[in-house]
Amino acid sequence: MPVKVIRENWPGKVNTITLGIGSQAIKIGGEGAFPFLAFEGKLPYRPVVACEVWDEEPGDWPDLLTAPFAGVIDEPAAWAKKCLVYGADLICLRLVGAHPGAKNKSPQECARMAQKVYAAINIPLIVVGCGEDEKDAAVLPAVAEALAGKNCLLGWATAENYRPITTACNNYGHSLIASSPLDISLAKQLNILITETGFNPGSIIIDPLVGALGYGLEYAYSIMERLRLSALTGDKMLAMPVICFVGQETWKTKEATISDFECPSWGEQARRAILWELLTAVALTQAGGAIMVLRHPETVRHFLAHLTSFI
Amino acid sequence: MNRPESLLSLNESGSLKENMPLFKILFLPDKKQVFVSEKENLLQAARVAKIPLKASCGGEGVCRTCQLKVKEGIVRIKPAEYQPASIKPPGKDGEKNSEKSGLNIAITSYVLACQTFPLSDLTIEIPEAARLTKLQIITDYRDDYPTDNRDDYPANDQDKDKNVLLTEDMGYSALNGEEIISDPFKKKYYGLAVDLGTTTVVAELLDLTKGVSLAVKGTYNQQLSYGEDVISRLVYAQENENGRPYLQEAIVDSVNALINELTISRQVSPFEIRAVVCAGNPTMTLLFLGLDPAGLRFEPYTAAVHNPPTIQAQKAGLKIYPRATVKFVPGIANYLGGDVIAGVVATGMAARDELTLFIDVGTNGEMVLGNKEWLVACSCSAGPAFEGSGLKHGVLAIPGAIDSFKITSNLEVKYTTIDRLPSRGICGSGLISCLAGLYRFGIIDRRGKFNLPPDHPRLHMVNGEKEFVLVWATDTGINEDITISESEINNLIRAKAAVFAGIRSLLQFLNLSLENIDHLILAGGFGRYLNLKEAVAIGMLPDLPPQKYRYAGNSALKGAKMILFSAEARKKTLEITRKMMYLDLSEGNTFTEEFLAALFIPHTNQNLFPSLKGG
Amino acid sequence: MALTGLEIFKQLPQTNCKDCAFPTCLAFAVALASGKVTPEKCPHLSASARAMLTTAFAPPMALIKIGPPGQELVIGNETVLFRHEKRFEHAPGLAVLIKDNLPVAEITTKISYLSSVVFKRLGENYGLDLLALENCSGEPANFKKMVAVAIEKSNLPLILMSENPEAMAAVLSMAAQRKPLIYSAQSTNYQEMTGLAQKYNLPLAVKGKGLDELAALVEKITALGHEQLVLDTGARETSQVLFEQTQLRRLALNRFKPFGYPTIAFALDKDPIQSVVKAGVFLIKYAGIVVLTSDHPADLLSLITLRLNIYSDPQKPMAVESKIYPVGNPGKDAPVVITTNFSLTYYCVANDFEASRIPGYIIPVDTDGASVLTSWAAGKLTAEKISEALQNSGIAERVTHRKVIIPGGVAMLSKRLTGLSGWEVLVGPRESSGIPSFLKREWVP
Ligand code: SF4
Ligand code: FES
Repeated sequence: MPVKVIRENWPGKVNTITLGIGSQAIKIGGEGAFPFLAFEGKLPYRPVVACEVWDEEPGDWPDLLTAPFAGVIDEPAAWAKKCLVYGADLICLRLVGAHPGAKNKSPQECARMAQKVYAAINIPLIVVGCGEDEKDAAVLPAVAEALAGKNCLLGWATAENYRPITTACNNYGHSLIASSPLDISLAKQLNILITETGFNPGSIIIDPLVGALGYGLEYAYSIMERLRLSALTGDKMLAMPVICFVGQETWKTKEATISDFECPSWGEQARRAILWELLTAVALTQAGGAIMVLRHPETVRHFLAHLTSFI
Repeated sequence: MNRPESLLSLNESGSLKENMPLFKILFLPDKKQVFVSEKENLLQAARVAKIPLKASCGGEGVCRTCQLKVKEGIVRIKPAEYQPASIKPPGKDGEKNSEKSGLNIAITSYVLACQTFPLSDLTIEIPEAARLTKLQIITDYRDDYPTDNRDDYPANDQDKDKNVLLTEDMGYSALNGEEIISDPFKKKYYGLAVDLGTTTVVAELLDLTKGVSLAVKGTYNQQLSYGEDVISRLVYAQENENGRPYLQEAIVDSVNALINELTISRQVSPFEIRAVVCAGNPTMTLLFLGLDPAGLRFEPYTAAVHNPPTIQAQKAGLKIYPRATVKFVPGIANYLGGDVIAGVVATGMAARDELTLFIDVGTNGEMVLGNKEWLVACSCSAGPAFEGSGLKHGVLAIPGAIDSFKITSNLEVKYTTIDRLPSRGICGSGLISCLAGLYRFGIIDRRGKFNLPPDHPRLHMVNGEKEFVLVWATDTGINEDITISESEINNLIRAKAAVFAGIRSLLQFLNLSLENIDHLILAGGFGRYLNLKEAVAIGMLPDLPPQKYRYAGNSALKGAKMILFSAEARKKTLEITRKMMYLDLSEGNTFTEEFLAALFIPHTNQNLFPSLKGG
Repeated sequence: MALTGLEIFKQLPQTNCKDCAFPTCLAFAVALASGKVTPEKCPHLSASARAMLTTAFAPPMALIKIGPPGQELVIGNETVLFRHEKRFEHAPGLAVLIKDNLPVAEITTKISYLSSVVFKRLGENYGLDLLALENCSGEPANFKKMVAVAIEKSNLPLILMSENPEAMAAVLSMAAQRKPLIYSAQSTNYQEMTGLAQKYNLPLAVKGKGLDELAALVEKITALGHEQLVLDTGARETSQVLFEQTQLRRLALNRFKPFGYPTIAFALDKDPIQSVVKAGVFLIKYAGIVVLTSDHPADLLSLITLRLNIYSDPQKPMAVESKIYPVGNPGKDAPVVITTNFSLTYYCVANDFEASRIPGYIIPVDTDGASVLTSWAAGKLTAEKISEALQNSGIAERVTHRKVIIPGGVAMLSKRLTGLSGWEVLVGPRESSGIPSFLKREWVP
């Protein structure tokens, strides 16, 4: 008995964004269907993995996470290169040191750092600030200028600081990450605000501030499904690809950081922590995430292997 | 219900301190004098003097609305972190001060009334800004919506037909039968319809034998000096031992003051008022009756409001015929009271086939959707932003209130005021107009954030916050710049978002959309000066063809009047309460999502505002 | 198409008699439309209305129970494709596969261990749901031994896996009272397997090769009169499973009868980590039962957590647990900030607090997931509640000062809160974005 499969006909699709230049450029987005349902729409590009590199040696990462970067963790350019060896599609440089409560590095210093890392890897670069709106508004324009024409991805633009960052990305030809907390309306509002400054909506990537497995993952999951649904049904202000800062969220959970010894019934930390980061990324990919920002090389390896199962 | 003199030395916790010296407090320019002890703050002293002051936070020292000037005498200021910037630290000006442990002694300065206690006899000046009274309340709500659809609504309003004589049935209904029978030869029967509002109280004197209205008067609800919104009053009633009697006295006094004015103006004896019907929200109803309102805020949420008792005037403390009946229009839920039910009665929406949305934007945004088959109501706390409170330059719709703005492209600001008097502040409709104008000319973005160069002459930084000068001090009647700050704009956006989200949630609950609405009736004093176009432009009201909008004026008062006049209306009221369902917006996520989507000018989903597209 | 509340309302008596425990007929109608009640809760329906509503609200997917009453796993009855549309009704069962070609001792340890796994999350215990016992040796005797061990050592519901009707019949004679799931009826054996399922009144897994064969097989089995079914398309590759699971769900919601049952999927992979990943994907995308091979505690913990996340009810206000949340590495003199447990409120506060780089503590008071102002209005954020939260959280042991920062919107609570708790109350900003500047300006321990 032949079953008539249901094929949705989606009028819209996710924007396609190119990051980087020349032969190294990467494309993301462009999906015309829900994740991995290629039978009813085009899914031209696979989700990609970005690895996090810090401008300062991280003080609070567990040994499990620093071990793979032994010897390079205080040297961002070398660290970034190491990530390439581990299979990263792109590098996400995080300017932790810019925070006024940390080293309060100057925008120029941050810009030089970004340049240096870029020069070392020559693949598409994501640069995010320190998370303090005001400081990021000062740092990111300097970074944008230093990386002029390199078609990078800069973040985070929020409702509080989007103007200077948008202007800089516009002037120097970068894409930007628009970040708003866990709500589809807030995400759309920010996209409208950014677009109304004259910025190309096709160069925006949404950061819905995802939560890790066990820590509000489901909110991000549903918001991302709704984002995809909106894109497919033709809402241009929600047709942006989505970036998920998975590593950042995972590696503050108890499940990823607690040792075997402290909680034997949970199994070895090495397996547990990787699974935590991995399953968070896998679930968010099922919801439509385009860029997964990860930390542990093992997670990267397994995640990429998982993606090949869809080819 | 006058406070006996002996109460003067009671402090608010009710303990009488014997032998405590009393200080004489003279309030200027009123020239009112009272005696209080050092345990009572100036806000309390002003209450004793019956001078209602603004006290939005109910005396917690955080809202800074109760600023007074100490002209003479020594006071103790509670060591609080939240004194207004204008208070000089003691001794700064070389003025005499003494140090007691933990006390700040200040003289000749602005102080927060609620945080300041006398240490000597005092002379206090009350600045206009701190005052609630002396301002005329606009009561002639019969004006229609100031667009082109001026036809009165509803058509069956008693006012339309002033010749209707009281039928036997009507008199019976209003006077409870007994009165007429026991006193059949008496010629004059008057009645009083009262709208017990959180901010204002309005009363209408009616001739029950002729079935006509004689006069309408309004005043501030004196409870305002215990906090500006329902919740702060509830908190006050609960947290202060004599809270309930104080609040009861305040509102009863307000009604008595109106009775006095009304009867004098029409030369009627108060004792000829034989029946009263009050329409109030649940809190006002309970506080008027002196009942415990705790059930309104705390589970299990039982409250007497669903069917408030009928009492005699003398028991209620009303100075009319002592055995006159005082009735309350019943409500259906803790946040949906007789005022809304009366409004529904007045609009006649429950008798129509077409779908009507009735909105009463007051301190709470209450709305009812329905037709003759069904009614669903909800209430969304819009906050008091549209009544002007919570904003530094917000005022009620008083003479001199700015009710509209025109901002030109070179950022010149033009405005109109009520009665064309020098501006004193901005009322609700002015705020909407202001928001629409600021947005239209790009002074704020869609989220309400200023988008001006930091050195723009109209942009000031005050306490680390951006303020936009709307009217320069020299052009005002209060001699200070009239401004609006970013957080105030934020408040307004929240308020308008709550209204719109309430509408959307109601519709969504029944799977309806905005286009299904046939009539949209606005009620309350708020709507009187409202510019519909601007209210739509900011996304507060739905983008419907203007001919679908109607303005019903003070529908609570109208409903109360109809109930007073006619047994038929009374019957309908009960039917309505039985039929109406209350939708609790705090259940589920719909309202939250709609609210967030509405925190944008006009809305995140611009398709909902087709007429604004491209603009 | 689903009926709307108003359409249902027209069918109701409209007397508002409240016998359905709703305040009005309209409230009942809307609750019915959103699937919160069933039509028979109104005793006054006319016969025609009852018939009409009952058909309209028959669930598109059957409810299937596996295991003895009281311990059964309940799956099915799903009504949506996306959890945000309403919710996923029944969390899928997690099963671990055990093969009968292992030595009995090993089987015994494994079964005992799997039956005892417990993880605590949000105050509740979670563990494995099912044991999948596979007759892969082909020897009925081995199968029987393994099932006997399971019956003795475990209370978990069972999946009995054999294609051989005789082997199945043999184990059912001792296991039937445990109400196991029979796996599986295929084109070659469906008559015998259906006979067994009917004899013992048990749920039966139907395995077809692909959607077409599966649909045909289901029709044959239902024609025999058995309706307790679980579907397996036979696919094991991730992308094929995903495609077929999606189709099964879509077609079920479209009321395509043969697919109106929950499904079972197998997460099998040479790489143990990849099999967990597969299981994760199948949990999310529509399987009613997921069978895995691994029994590593970290695997189970992460999958159980994932399932909890995805199967939580999105209609419930998003709430975080009420407890102490440290920001950074706070010391004894770090500030303590109160907020409510509405997720969005909490996350805004946490983000802004984090951005300040001042370490401290956040205590979200349990307000049933309402925001600050809503909960204040509803009496859910009171001085009593805050005082209680201060006490119960044990914050007093973490800091030496006694100062607490409350949201600016509830300044009125300060006096009473000080009285109740003995803590000094600082009134914070009304908006969380004001937290960094507030802390910098005002915070002195
Ligand atoms: S039991 Fe039936 S008739 Fe009575 S209120 Fe409920 S739905 Fe209406
Ligand atoms: S500061 Fe609010 S009443 Fe005094």
